Amino acid sequence: MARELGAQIHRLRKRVRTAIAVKWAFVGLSAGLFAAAAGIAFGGRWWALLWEVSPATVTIVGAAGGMLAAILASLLVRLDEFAVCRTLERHSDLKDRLSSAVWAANTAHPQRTILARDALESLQSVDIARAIPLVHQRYWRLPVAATLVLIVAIALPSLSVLHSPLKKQEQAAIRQQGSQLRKVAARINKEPQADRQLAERLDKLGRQLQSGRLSPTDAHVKLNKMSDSLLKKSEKLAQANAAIGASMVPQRYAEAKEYLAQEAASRLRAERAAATSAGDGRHVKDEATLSSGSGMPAKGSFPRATHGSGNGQDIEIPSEMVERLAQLYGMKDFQEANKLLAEMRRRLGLKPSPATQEDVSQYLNALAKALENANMQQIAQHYKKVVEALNSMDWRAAQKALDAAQRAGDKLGSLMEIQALEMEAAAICSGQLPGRNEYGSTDREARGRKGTGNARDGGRIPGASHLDKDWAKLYAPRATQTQKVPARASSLINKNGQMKRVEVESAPEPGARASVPYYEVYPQYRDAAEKALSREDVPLSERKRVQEYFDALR
Amino acid sequence: MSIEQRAEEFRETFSALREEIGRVVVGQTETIDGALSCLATGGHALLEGAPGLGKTLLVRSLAEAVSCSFSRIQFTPDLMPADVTGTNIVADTPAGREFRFQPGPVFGNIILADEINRATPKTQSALLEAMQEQAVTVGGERRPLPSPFLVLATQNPIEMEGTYPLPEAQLDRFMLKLLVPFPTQAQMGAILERTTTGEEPAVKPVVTGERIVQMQETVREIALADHVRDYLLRIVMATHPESELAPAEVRHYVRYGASPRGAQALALSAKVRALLDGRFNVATQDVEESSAQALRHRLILNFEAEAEQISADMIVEMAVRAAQPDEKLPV
Repeated sequence: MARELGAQIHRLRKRVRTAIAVKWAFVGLSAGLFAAAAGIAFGGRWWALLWEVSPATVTIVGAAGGMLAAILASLLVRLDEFAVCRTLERHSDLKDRLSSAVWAANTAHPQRTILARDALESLQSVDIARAIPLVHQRYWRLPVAATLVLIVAIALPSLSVLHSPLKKQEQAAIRQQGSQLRKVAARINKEPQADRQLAERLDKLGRQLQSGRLSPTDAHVKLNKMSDSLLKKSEKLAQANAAIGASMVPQRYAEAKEYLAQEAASRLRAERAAATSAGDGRHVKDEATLSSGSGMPAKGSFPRATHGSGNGQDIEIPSEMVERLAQLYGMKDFQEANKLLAEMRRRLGLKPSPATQEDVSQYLNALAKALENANMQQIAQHYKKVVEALNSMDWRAAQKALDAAQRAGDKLGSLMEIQALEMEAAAICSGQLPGRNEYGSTDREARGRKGTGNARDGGRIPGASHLDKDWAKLYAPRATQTQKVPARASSLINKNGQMKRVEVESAPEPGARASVPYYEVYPQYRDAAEKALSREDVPLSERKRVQEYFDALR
Repeated sequence: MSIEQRAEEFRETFSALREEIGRVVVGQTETIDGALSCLATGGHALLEGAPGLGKTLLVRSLAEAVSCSFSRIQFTPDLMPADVTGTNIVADTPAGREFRFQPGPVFGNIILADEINRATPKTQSALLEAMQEQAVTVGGERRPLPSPFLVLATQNPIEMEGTYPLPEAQLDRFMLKLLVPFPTQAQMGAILERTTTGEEPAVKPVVTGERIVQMQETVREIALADHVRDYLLRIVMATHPESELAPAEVRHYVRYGASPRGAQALALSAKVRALLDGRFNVATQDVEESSAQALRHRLILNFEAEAEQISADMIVEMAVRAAQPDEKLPV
């Protein structure tokens, strides 16, 4: 009897455990959904990490996490046989039969057999599935409520009816900016030298903007921050670029070539003079370069020293090729330069004649010096190696050095491309939102600003330069006597990077000049005059005169 | 005889008694069951109700249904203790004059103490020993009372003038305090029908005194599991204002809580309910259902309770709520 009772209680325990797990799973699911809803609703401000992934991910993770945690917690609930019996008794008409039988069995009560039999008989009439159902209908209430809250959290901010046309326009512009930023981020990511962190930040910002869950103010703040950061970076790069001075390469090349040509000519002359005075009968050929009759080489061309007749093939690598290379470096067209280098490498692979080798060596030496002078040392040093290799007739080493020069060019080109993309991103970030001026305020806000008049056509009017000046004079960020850091009257950014709207309505600071543009003040006065005129206490005969006075003011 | 058979017999006897009394007394089922519970456990009952509700009739019918001796004591202010317990009298015997004990009405199996609160406390106290110890001491000699012994006292809660409220010690001796409710219109119709037309129904004895004693033994064999016992004790403790279990209302309105006799009465009463329900174990529901009858007369409420018309039943209900076990699994 006791064994049978034990078996029944064991089955009952499993049922209760499952029921607890199911119930807590519902609770966990609901908690997860509520948490997801809260994360989605407030994510922009407090839990940015949560909503930077998609709402769907947040929801799934929240719901699954809640369920899992709840199920695991349910496994930790201590279920002794007595508690299990009491649970069933609470939900049935057993009236403590089961728990009393368990108690009697454990205490060797004289009536334990009768109590156990009575409990088992009564248990047969109990529908356990009904007494302890795994899923109660009421369990659904919480998840349903949580789902509704979640839907509201997701859908409410996007509801069209809740937004003014201006705001919709702003949001569309923000989305577009987000999309553009993500494209730029993808392009940056393709570059081998890309700053992955920056690309990631851009992509993240793009996603935030695209999600449409960012208020225009917050979007503007974030874009401003990103823009500032990119501009600072680009300034540094611009300084570095300025030092590089790639555009000077062709000119430096011409100068270097001229200098090296003259140096070569003088060295040749010195060698010839030394040979003549020694009378050793050595003959130095100066066929081409000294053929001008003046005793000087043609401008920019190298005098050719005496060599034996060429053993190798006379493969032409003309000076124009190197000159073109210098021009391409000057234009920062590393792609075209690389094509030219590939061709040059191919020709060197055919083992050119010593004469050609000598010419090429001299031209490339000039290019190396030009690059060095333009602060492009990384590429220049590879060309120096090329020259060294050519001088020692080591074609393979020359080819390798050309390869290295090509890679260095690629690297520099990639960096420049990235810089261009970053500038593009900065341009996107600093792009004006529709209806929003460069200070982050809407025209409507500007018009409504206290103490500046309520002009119907007031505020900043794009394209009107004098108005821009007035605007900047009045509303642009600036340092005041008390505020040393430039600040603006409204839409101040607090230290958390959020907009803090402050309407200023006060007298100007002592010593500060307060001026309100005429076009802002005039409509107020006109309205006041019209009201005054319409009042009966202005005599009819005088009204016209008053009218004329104000018209004259205009 | 197995416990199951005895339990079955218990239920049959109880039903027979209930049915027999019901032939005379219309309605009042709870009061009848309470009185029978006292009979089946060896306790005593105090019946409280307005005049004319059938308290005396109920007790008399119960006595008639049990074939054992019945005494009725009409308590009046001039009733003396000796009138209840009996006294030694001088009697002429063939051997000469001698003192002989003349048993009082208390020497019966079922005693009806009618309008008990009309007697002086001195006389009321004459029942103390009898009720608790089932014996009386007269002239220095202790005399046991017959078994079964059941005191069923009645009192009228309305007419308070010229009455002597029962002292706490006396009240505590009553196992249950049964409130006799006013009959419903239908019940009154039935009463009229039975009492004003033809012959009034008579009660026949359906059970012997021995059988009652057996019933009392059977009741005590019913199991009271630890958790039910703890619950019962928590209820009793919750009626004490100084107890940690006491709810705020008890602390505010109760001067003194239920005595250990209250716990005993509650347990026995709950056991009777379990038996009647066909169980061999006491359930928490039995305890809850019996708590008012067993505890209401044991609580001494303070002036504030009286002023705010807080009844003992309300306090018991609060104590029951406060004593609920905290053993619920989250299902």
